[in-house]
Amino acid sequence: MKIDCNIDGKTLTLSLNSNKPLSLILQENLDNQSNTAHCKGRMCGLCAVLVDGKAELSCMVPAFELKGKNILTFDQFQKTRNMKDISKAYEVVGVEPCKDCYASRSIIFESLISSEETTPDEIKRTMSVVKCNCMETVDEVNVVTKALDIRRKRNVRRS
Amino acid sequence: MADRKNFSRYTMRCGMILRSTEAGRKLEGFEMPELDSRFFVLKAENIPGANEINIMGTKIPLLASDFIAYKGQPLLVLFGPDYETTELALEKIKAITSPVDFKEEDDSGFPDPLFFSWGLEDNGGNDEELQQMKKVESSFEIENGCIEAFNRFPILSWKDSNGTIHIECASQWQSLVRNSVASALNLSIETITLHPDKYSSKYDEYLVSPAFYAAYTAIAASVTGMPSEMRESGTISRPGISFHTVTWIDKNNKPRHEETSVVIDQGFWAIMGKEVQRQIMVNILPKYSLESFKAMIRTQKSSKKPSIFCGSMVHSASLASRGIHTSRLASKMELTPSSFILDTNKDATRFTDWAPRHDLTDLEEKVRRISIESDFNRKWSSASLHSGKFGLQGYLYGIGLSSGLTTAGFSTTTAKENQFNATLSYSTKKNVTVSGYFPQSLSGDRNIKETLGRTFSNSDQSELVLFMEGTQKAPDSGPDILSSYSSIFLTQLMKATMKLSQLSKKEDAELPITLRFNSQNLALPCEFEYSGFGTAVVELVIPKISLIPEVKNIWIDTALALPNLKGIKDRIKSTAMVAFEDLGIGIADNFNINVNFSSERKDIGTYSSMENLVRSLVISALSSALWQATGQGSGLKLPMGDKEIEKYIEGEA
Amino acid sequence: MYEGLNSPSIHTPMNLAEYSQTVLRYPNVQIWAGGTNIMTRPKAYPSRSTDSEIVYLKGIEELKKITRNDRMIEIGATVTLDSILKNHRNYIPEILKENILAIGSPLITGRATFGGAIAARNPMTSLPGTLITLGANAEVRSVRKKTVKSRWIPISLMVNESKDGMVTLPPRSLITRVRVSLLASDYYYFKEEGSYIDDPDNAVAVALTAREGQMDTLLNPHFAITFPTKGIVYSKDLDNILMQLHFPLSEGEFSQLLQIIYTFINAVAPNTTVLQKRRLDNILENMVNGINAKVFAPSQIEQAQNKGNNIE
Repeated sequence: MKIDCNIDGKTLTLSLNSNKPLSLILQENLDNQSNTAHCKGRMCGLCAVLVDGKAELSCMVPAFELKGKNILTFDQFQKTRNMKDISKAYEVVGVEPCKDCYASRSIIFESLISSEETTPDEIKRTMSVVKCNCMETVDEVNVVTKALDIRRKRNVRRS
Repeated sequence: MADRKNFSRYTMRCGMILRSTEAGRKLEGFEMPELDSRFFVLKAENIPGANEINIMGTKIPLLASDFIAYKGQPLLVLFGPDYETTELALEKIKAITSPVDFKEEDDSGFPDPLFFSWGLEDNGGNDEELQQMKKVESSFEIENGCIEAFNRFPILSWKDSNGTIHIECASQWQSLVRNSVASALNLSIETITLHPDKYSSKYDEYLVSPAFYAAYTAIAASVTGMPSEMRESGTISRPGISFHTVTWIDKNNKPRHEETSVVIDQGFWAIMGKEVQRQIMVNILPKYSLESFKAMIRTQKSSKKPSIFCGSMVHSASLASRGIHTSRLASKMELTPSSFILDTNKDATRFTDWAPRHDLTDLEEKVRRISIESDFNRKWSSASLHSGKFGLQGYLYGIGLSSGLTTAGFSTTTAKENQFNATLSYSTKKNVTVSGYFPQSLSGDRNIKETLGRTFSNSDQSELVLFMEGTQKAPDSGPDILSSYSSIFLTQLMKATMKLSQLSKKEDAELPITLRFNSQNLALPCEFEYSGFGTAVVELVIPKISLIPEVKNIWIDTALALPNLKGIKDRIKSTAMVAFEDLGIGIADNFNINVNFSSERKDIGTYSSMENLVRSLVISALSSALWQATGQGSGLKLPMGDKEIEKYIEGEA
Repeated sequence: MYEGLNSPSIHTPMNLAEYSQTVLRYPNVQIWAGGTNIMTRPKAYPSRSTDSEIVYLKGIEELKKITRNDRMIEIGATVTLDSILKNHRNYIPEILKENILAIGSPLITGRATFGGAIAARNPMTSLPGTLITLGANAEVRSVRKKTVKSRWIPISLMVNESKDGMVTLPPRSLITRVRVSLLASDYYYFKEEGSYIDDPDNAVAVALTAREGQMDTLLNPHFAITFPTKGIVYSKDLDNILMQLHFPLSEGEFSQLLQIIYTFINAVAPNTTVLQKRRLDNILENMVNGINAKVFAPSQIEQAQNKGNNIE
């Protein structure tokens, strides 16, 4: 089936099996560098991408759902100003996710930040999907609040 | 060189592995479906060169040819036009096997048992005296296991018009990859070009597997003439080790004689078997005085996946056995483990052929400090009062303490083969630029820049403008900052900066000045250099309902021969957390981790395998805590998850 | 591109009438709402069994609706668990809220739909059990030879009719709406232990709702136990037994109750694991202790709890 979508700013027409998961499309068809997780349904939480600005696990998004969607993977997201806010927050809080989960965690953080989520319980619950123990939940909450702070200041300056 | 970008997915071959489902059987052949010309089947017999990969002197077959050594061994690789078609075709291929006598006795290539003892002449044969003494026994076992990464890495091979085989893959073992491919294809190593890929992993050992996959894809590329790709996850397997320690203590509660026996199960092949034995021996030597001591370490063969290295696992298991035995001894003497360590430890460790003598006074200071900080003594005493049974609290509780030295194990020393280099230049604008081939993460580190700045201007107030740029291509994988190479590179960079500073201060200095150096690895694989020490306390609860052990609090205090890099505390934290993850231990809701790190830069030039140390300390402290929580009299077995706890409670009932 | 594998055609009906037509035309369709249950199967892709038609329900307007009054809430089948939690947090019963929270991160509950969570098998979610205790009904739409039949069925009936403890729908039918009463209970207990994804064979969930009766009894209790791979244990007889109990229960009475509960469990899920049983025993003990404490001194306990909350 032919699918028109936008991945990392590029408008693509992909010829794919309609039920192929996005994670495999990114890896096998598009040679994506940041999306490498393949947990075969164990929900490792390491394959998050932004679908129309909202974090989704790419292994759960079938190809046919991509029609007309805007997908942003970490390959492109890491070059954006929004990621700079997050890496600055990592620096200020003094923690950094390990390399295994760096991409996915940053993407999910972005989703929380853009929706201005500040409730610690909600942040913890959202981040619980990442099955990598390298970061404490307290630090996750701190990163989101700090990055949100940085983002707001940046937006104020800009306006 | 064939341009990498020219490859079309339509002309590429995608490979997938058929693995064995059972071990210890004879491989008779395969039941094959009809496959058209788009497929290429790689079996042991159509490997052009040698069907083996040489890991530190141990030869392991690339594909099983006759005998299936372990479950999960690669039997066949199928290359097809795309991953979907290949996977579906692979499902139809069945291996035909027949039962065969698995001879355990044939253990050629396995090391002889390692013995070590002292004082036996004085005490030899004096069994009567021993019989009158109290016997304190402990046993500890860590099970053989395999950890698979969630992430997959791509391995791509192609052949150019000159006949050169190109391989694109992530591995820190670059010469292993090239050598394996060359021997599998019966080609000279010069015809193999490796393009290292960026990839990260929690363990160096993950990055051994690419050598296998590189060989498969290279053969496919060479035979079919088409670029061939595979996507596989890294796996590591942990050796199984069981310890049994007995100490005889006299009426005055003084340890007199001790015997330890260790059995290692490294799988079907014992890679670096002798070194594994020595690693263990270093840690099981008691630090308290004894009249006599006897230890025996034996490696046995089994039909399991060979554990490739896992220096840190071996190191941590042996330290954990020490930790548990210390807790046992302490509780028999009605002391807390920390006071036992402080009361009975000698000033220095014993000198052996393979481990130098280490001063223990600083370590004891750290034990003292961490006990106060974590309120260890009080918690330990109160927990021992009602251990073993669920109290009114609805959970089991345990607290453990461990302390130890790190020996620069092979996991992080030989794993890195990257020769880093740098060019330093001092320009007319009085800027210093450092560029070259080294991990990018080093160039972003503010601490490194500040330290270099201070070294250059020889004062605390540095006015130096420093540009540091690592190469994109430097493989930035594994525990990079703490690897020996990064550490060696940094110390040598420091010396180069000093030299540059001297040159720039000369009156006849002509700017710009340029210096270039290649970092050299002066250390041998398994030298037990002094490289740091630390202590850890782990507090653990086992909730009554879930029965999943959860870590509540950790305190870690380490001193390492490392520059005080950015994020090092973070690295210590994540190493501890990953260790728990591997052993199936959960993290409690109100979890807290305290890390104290001091940098010991007196002996510049030595290096640390920090991961080894932290991993060892937390596993050791965790085992003691588990031992206390479950009140296991006879022994403890790791990993201990909900099912094991259930069995223990069932036994209690 | 993939000769060995057919790409399933996707049907996206925009309303229920279109849905019925599609189902009539293609008898072997795979119904796809959020896809969580399908995509998390280890051999989800590539698989030969998917060489069929897929009906994607997300376009159907009727299934997206939520209606609410002061007595009940009606939730469309493709409404995600997370959207209920986000938009109707203050209205839905506490036990439902707790159940959705226990299922996990919004990245999962944001995709999982109500209908999917009820109809999922192997492993099933803890949601049907909780909905049974809330006396929920589901509207089931069956398509048979050009006739479309729609009726409301209590979820408890869907479980009990099958006798294997699994939610069973009539063939060629679809859950379209779920109706949950908002008045049914004022006491609840919910606990889920073990991982439904990693280790469903050892996981268990318990749900209980009731009205507080006289001092020492539970009025109109509903009690369900979910074993994710083995089935839901729910029986009106068990509810009646619970209603006759006078709290606090002594240790002897509790073990008697446990025995009775196990006779019901053995009828539905005889092969529960040891760990599962141990977890269940401890959950039930915890549940009974909670009720005991409430009966002993409800007002003091509440006061203490309020105090605790204030300190937090």
